[in-house]
Amino acid sequence: MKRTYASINERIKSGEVLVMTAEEVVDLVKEVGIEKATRQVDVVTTATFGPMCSSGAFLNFGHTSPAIRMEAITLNDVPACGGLAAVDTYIGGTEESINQGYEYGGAHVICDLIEGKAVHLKASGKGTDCYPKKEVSRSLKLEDLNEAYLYNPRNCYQNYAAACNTSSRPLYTYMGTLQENLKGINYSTSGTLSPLLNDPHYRTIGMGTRIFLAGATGYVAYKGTQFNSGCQRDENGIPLGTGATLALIGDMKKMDRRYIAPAVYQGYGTSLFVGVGIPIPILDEAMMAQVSIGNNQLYTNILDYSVASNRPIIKRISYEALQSGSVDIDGKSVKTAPLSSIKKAREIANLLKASIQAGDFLLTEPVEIFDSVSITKPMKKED
Amino acid sequence: MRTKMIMKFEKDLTNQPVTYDLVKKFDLRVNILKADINDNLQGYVVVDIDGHSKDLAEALKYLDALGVDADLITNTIDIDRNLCVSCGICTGACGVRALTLSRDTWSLVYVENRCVGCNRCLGACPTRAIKNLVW
Repeated sequence: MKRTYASINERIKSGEVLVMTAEEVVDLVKEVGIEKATRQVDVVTTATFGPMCSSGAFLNFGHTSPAIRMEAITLNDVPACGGLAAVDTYIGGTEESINQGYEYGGAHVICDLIEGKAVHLKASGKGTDCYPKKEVSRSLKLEDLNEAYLYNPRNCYQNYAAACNTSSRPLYTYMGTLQENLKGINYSTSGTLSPLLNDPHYRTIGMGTRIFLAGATGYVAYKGTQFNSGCQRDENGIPLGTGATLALIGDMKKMDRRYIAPAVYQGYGTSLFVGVGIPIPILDEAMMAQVSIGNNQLYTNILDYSVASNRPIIKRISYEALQSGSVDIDGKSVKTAPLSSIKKAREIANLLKASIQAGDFLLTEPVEIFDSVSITKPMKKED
Repeated sequence: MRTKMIMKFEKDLTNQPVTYDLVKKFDLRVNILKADINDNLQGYVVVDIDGHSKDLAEALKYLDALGVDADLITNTIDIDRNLCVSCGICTGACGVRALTLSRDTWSLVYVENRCVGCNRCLGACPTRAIKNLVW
């Protein structure tokens, strides 16, 4: 049984398409087997809603009269990049407010704009013959900007290690507060719903793939940074380590605050929860076999964050065990807590399913397929 | 009945052994959850109380007569459900299982009578959705 993108899109347009979420399809395959499930299901929807630090937005404010070339820029007191053309900027999600610190950061600015709130722009430039104005200060809403698009250089980690702490003091990290003496384990990744765990060899998720991004239609723009596709894999092809990542792009003006939220991690800083949904076309049985892998067969490592580099692996563990709420470490039951919302991920997978079934969302074949040989290097050592 | 109570003391009352009286005079099982005295010698004590409701009513009258500002706590923390994304990281910070995730819906579940008001969830919550209503 083989399908093409064109044949699936025809079925979407005619209303005959059968879509299931990546959770639902696990049960279906258990019941009817891969062959029958492949014949029945055209598309499987995957999703994630986790904190993704490597996120931010490009904004264009329009020109003032007389014009200014913005060099030093803040939005609600959060610094934004000045090194672009006159009224362009990029605001990073983890940038912190000058006065409030990490309680309000770039992620908050982005979400306030999406929510329709006014944001205060302050900018200055040295003044040139073509851009004589030296200062600007005014309140702007998303609707006042020309373009505003989220561009996240690294989202959707294929797999991510869980974190614990064996030292005698709590650690404040981007994985949340890690309690001392191995009192807890924090994990991210929405397991069987997670996009790149369902397409581990990037057969269908590639450059140009149309996706759900924070309530809007978005696209996979490129390989994500630290794209580590050449990593070691288990018998199911699932990366043992981080694996691939995705760079994502989408129009902020069409986004919905329910599917994007600012995050603050005590003693660490600001981050951005990004809701992502990616459809996977069931091209053949091999594709169905990949998406039907459940949490009991998806594994990650628990790393000890109390060791600064080359963190030791405490245990290899399934997402089923992590999601149960506690795991056994050397005879001790240790509580687990997630960082990414499975509730929201499930909601997004269902929303995407509904919009495909309603004929509102067509699938795209990648413009370019990602490689499986990239290795993320550490920074070059000092000479 | 079992309940939580906050008692606020003015300066002239901070030397009174009120907790002792609650145990001795009213036969209440008192478990101190939190207590503090500030620079002005005003203070507060948060207790978990177990006993007969009649005895508790008598104790409240006694505290009132003494001038202690006592309030029963029915709900220690408030979760803004518009801000909460049910990520679940607060469930790791909560040591008494007052905050858990439903394994069925993956929604955050708050069981208020388990909460001891330690406030660890306030700092752990990335969307700042949790507030302490009492102190």
